[in-house]
Amino acid sequence: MTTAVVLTPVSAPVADHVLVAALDGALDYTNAEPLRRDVEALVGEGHRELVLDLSGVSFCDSTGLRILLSVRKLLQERDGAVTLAAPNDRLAKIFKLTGLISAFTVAPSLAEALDVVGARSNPR
Amino acid sequence: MADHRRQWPITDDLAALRENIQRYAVQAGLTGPRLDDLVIAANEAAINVLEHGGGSGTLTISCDGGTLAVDVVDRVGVLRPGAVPSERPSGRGDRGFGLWLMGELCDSVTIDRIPGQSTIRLAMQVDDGADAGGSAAGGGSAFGRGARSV
Repeated sequence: MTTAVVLTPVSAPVADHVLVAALDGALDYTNAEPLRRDVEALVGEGHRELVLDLSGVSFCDSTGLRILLSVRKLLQERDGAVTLAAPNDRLAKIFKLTGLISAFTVAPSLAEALDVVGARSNPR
Repeated sequence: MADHRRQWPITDDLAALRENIQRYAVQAGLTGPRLDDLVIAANEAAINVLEHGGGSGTLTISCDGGTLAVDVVDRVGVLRPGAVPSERPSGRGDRGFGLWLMGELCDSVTIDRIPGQSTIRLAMQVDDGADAGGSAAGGGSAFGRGARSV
């Protein structure tokens, strides 16, 4: 009935503790809570970093922001972080307006997000 | 201008509601980031009804004299005039956050309350030069089927 939001693991081996996943669809009140459970199920014991590719997300409302923050908390409890990649203009505006942009690392593309996380994981 | 207004029930099919709002707003001449802003704000108002407003209500969209208005009505009437915070609330999950967001995104947000019913009105000026005269003077045709390409 409602637009689904789909979470798919992405194979992008940066380091064992880094989980990369793509999110596709419209993230709203009707599907945000199931998404939280999907993310929690996907994050394995050894994962401390999560990179979320948002390039396929067309829409995100305040409920979606809430879920992203709860996912951030989950990773922070493991001394890790969430990096958001490639939000569209609409999402970037909402992140900025709500101050969410300062709560996450936001990268313009997945490649750049992986660079950031890679550098954080393998300091030279 | 009752003949141009459209009304939909607020259900958990928010995706369909957003599409309906977007389609109407585009026909009314709203484009670009301001179109996004209205869709996001209207979605927040609808969530408010689902979460705090008794779970059912209606959304009505209308355009009159260059003002595009979205009226979101709940059936509990708890929401009061003046409830829109002027500063960003710290809690991102509470009702005030959605209201604050609406205030940031729209030209104006007004709340009317009568016993058992609150109405949030989100308004956007449709200031596209080419459309301003047409929608004010000849609004009747502007919303006719296929009158304006999307």
